[in-house]
Amino acid sequence: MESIDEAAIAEARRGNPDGFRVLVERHSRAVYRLTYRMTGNEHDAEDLVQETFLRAAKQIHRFDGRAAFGTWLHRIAANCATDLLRARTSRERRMVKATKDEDGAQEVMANVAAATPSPERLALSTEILRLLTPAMAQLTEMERAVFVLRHYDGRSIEEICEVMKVKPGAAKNSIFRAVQKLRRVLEPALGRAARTAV
Amino acid sequence: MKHLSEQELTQAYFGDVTAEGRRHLESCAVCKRELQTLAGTLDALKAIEPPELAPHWEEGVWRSIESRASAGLQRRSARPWWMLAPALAMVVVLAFAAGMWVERRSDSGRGAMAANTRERVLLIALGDHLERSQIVLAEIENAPESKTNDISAEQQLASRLVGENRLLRLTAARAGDGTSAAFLAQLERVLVEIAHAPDSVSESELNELKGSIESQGLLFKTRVIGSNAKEKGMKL
Ligand SMILES: [Zn+2]
Repeated sequence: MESIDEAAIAEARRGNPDGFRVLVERHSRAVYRLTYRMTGNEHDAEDLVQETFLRAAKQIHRFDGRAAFGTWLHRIAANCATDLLRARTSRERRMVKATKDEDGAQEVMANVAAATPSPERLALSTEILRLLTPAMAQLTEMERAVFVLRHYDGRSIEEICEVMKVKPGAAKNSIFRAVQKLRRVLEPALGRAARTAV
Repeated sequence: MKHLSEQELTQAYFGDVTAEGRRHLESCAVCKRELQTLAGTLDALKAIEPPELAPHWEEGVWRSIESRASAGLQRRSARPWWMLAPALAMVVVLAFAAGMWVERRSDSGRGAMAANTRERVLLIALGDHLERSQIVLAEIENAPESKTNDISAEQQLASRLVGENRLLRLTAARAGDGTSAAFLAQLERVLVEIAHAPDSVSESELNELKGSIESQGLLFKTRVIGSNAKEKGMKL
């Protein structure tokens, strides 16, 4: 229903709150899903949803319609995460340290080749959830936005370039650097299990 | 044999791999293992799902940002929206469609607009739309026939009405009003036909358009349904 988005955007641009409300109603759940995936925390994810739409309202005149509205919005969501992730990092770091201290007692199984969810996979998810905020906080704004659009939203490199105003090479580099940084934080905790996995 | 770099492995994960890279991955256990580790981490990130949200959750989001978001929108808009009359019917339809959409997710009528109000604005919007459609149809229907006929004014109006008509038709269909949806589909076909005709039509082309309008009793139906809708809307 892209045409409803288009009409709603046109109204919002004229300053009509009803038009913008339509956009909030149509897109906020998807934005929430994304912000939760960046923070692993319901409260932060909700705050980010609000912040995303507030920024979108101020910037709606800049939306040029060349990328899908959802893509444009998710880019804003990724950018909104920056300050919040940084603020949360120090708290999270203390938690990570506590986790590391327990490491000896914890047996995190990371059967990376498993195709179906298993108790081990769930344990892996819990572990990742714990490390998510500090891991995401390592990324630059650009890296996070590009990674989020590619990995979570499954956007093509072309569409990402359109919305981020970058060249394909730069987008691919940002994805690579994001993956590198995330792995560096996430994998040591899971590394032993990953190394022993067949 | 040269192993794939971390960057190449990352690109391979996202489906961006050369034929040579793919062949290597098939035969090299080391790279295959590396890719599995990387995939394990990235897949686990993607597997994170938020807890279920409450029904009506998005209404809460709107309520908490409404005043600030509205201020944000106003800052940039040159004119207040209610001055832009041609767009008004569209807004009303949108608001209605949005309400329907929210309402369909739950049974309680907690939408910001009361069902009654919504029905009223929809009926008025429909009446308004049909009134303008009627003008286009009547102009074509009554146009004197000559060798060439300039219908560019009717075309412009028709193409603006097509989008509005589509929204109204979808809204009607979603509301379960099959009769209105079917009538609007009929009207839409003729509006599209007019909008897509050349600026200047020949006598036979004009007669063809007139035929489409007449064969379905469209002008009459548009007039009757339009004034009924408006009257009913005003009474609510
Ligand atoms: Zn290799």
